[in-house]
Amino acid sequence: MSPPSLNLRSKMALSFGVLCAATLILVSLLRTFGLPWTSDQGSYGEQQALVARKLGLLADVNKQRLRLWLAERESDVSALAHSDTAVSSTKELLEIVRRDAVTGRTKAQLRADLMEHQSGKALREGMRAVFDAHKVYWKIQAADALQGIVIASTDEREIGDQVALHHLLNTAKERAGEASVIAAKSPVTGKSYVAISCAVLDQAPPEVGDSTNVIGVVIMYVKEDQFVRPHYYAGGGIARSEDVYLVNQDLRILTTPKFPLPDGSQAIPLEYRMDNEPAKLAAQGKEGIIMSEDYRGVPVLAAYRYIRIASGYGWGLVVKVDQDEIFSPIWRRLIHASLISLLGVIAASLIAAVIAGRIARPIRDLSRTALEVEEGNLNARARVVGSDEVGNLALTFNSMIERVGNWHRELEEQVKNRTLRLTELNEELIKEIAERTRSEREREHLISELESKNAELERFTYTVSHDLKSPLITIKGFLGYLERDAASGNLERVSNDSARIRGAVEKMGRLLDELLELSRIGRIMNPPQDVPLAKLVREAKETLAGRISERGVILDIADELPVLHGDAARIREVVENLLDNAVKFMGNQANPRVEIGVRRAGNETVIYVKDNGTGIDPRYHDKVFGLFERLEQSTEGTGIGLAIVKRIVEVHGGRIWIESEGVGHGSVFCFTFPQSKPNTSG
Amino acid sequence: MNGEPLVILLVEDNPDHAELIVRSFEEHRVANKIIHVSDGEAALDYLFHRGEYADDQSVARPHVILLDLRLPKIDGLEVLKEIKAAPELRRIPVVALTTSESERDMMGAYNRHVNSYLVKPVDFEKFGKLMDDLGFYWLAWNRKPPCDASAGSPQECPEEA
Repeated sequence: MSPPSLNLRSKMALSFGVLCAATLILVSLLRTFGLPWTSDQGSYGEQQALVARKLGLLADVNKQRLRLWLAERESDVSALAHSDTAVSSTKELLEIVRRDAVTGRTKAQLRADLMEHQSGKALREGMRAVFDAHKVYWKIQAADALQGIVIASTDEREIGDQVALHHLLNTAKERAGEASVIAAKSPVTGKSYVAISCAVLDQAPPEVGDSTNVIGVVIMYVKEDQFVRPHYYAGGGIARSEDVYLVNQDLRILTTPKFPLPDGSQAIPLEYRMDNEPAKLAAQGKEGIIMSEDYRGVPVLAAYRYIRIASGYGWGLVVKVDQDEIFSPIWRRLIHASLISLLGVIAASLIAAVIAGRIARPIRDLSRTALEVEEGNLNARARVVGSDEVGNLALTFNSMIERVGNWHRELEEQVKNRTLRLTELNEELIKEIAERTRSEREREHLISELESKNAELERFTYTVSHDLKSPLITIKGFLGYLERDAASGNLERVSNDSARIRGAVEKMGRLLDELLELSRIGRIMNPPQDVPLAKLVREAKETLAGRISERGVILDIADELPVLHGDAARIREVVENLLDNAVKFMGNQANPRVEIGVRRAGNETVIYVKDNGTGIDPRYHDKVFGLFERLEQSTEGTGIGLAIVKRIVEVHGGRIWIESEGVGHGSVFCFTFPQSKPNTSG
Repeated sequence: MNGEPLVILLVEDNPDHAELIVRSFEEHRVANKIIHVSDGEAALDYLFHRGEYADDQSVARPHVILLDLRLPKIDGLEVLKEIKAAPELRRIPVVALTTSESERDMMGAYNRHVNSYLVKPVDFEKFGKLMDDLGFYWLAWNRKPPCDASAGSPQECPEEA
């Protein structure tokens, strides 16, 4: 499968999937959380409101029940305290207490006196009647208001004892005639309970709170279980996690909560402090609904109410359910809906993929054809299926390829022609470049030749002017002296002066001749011809015969000498010059000897003239060929001879050099020279 | 002037010129002693006491050297270079006395620290005048380095830093 169609298909499937998923998620969220900015709260909001309503109702019911229950207890105690029996019995029993205190009877005796007295019995019977009627009391007792001595009780064992909760006396006295409720804890048993107390008055008090005629106190103790019962079982059955608890002003719990604390223990009433938000709010006298945490640290929805007991004193009532429990059905529904949505989305994506594949197939064909065309197959054609948009596209595409093919052929033709033309041009260009390079090289060669010629000319001019000036100075100088010497009549000097002048003039003449000669070499040449070297040597030997015999030089000439090719007169000059030089620089050699010969060096034939004369220091080997260079002042000559020899050899394309080990070792003048072609001797 | 002998080393290959110079000096009583050598090698041999002059006790260090530039064997510029390279000789004034007016020779000579460059005048009178002035300038007017004051005694002069 080619990548573009796969892409199209997956793109379609993906977008379908994403679209479906987004829609379903949006619908689920709206259903759960409601439409924003409308009254629709969604199932979550609705559930919250419903539970809150139920909790509020339950809290109100509980509050009401508790209030009624408390009122009932209060009326019980005030009815008993205000009954005639209670008032008269109390008076008489107080009498006994006072009498016994005066007579110094023991506590046991006091108890017995109080038990046996008619009033005691009457009061106890009244108490017992209330106790039995309601079955909610743990005990009922009456006490002396002054000393707190129990004068009557449903628990006969404590008669004559002190009241355990002494502050109840004060409360009762302060609120003379009014019943008061207090949650307390027994210091003996550690049991928590609610105590409702009311003062027994001598007669009706002039106003509430006047404790002047308080003679005793009736206290009714409510059992803990009895105290809890009214609210626990008033439950609305909202949820399993539903719980009700009461706290006092100090947030101490009054009832045992339904669930254990986070550490696993049970909260102990009047010890454990309900330090959570709804309890605090309730204890502060506020009422309402809140999302908060309870004593277990679990998030809950709680309704809280304040139960006023006395002015500035009240309890907090909290009814709560766990948020988890009330909202879990909603979450469950949401998850189910999501799962179903996911399945739907997958199914939709698959269907979308299949449909996309169907739509993409012709496009894929087209794209494959396009790829083939791109790779160079201009004969590829797309399959035309149906006459829909894709079919039309395929048709258009095919006709386009047709046209492209035509263009391509045309272009190829043109390119072929152009290439041919270009190749021709290129060859021409290469030729031209080669031509230019050649002429450039030629030009450079000519320039460098010209430069070296120029330099040579410069050198030549310089040397010539110098060497021509020298005799001029001599001539003018000695002419000056000649005049003076002639005037002074010094004849010896006169002849010396004129000899000097003559010598200088002669030298100048010779110089000019030789310079002329030198300048002719290479410029004026006889036509080249084959010249046997042996013949030239013979002629030179004859020319220099006088000097040779004068010095007693022995000539050793090789038998086989090559036939040279060049200007015969010039070659003779070379041979004469070299031979003359060799003879001339013999020094003090006793057996002067000159050897003329040939040797092979590589593929060159080297002609040499060897002497055993003074020799030449290797330092001056090049210098001797220079113009006007002389190694010794004593010898005659202008210093042009060897320069002429070198020039002749070089003009003919040969080389000339000196081989000598130095002064006293003789010297060898060697040169190469073009030789007669057919007659090259080995 | 004191009576010490004034020594001139004349390096001149042309015997005619040498005679002209010597005669000029004699006429003007310029120097007591003129030593003439005719090539570069001889000049260096003389100055460095070697070769021909190795055992010659009469060899005196010259007060001034007159040097022709075109010389057989060792060229004048080469001689100049060696003189100026030798610590014991470099203080001797060297006067190039030549027929050459070529720029190359002048630059070569000055680059090798020649003390003066003179071109031999063709005119006889001028030639004589030059020789006179030359002798007078170098041997009378010119102050010699103190430690070389006494010619012929190769006293060591401290090298400057």
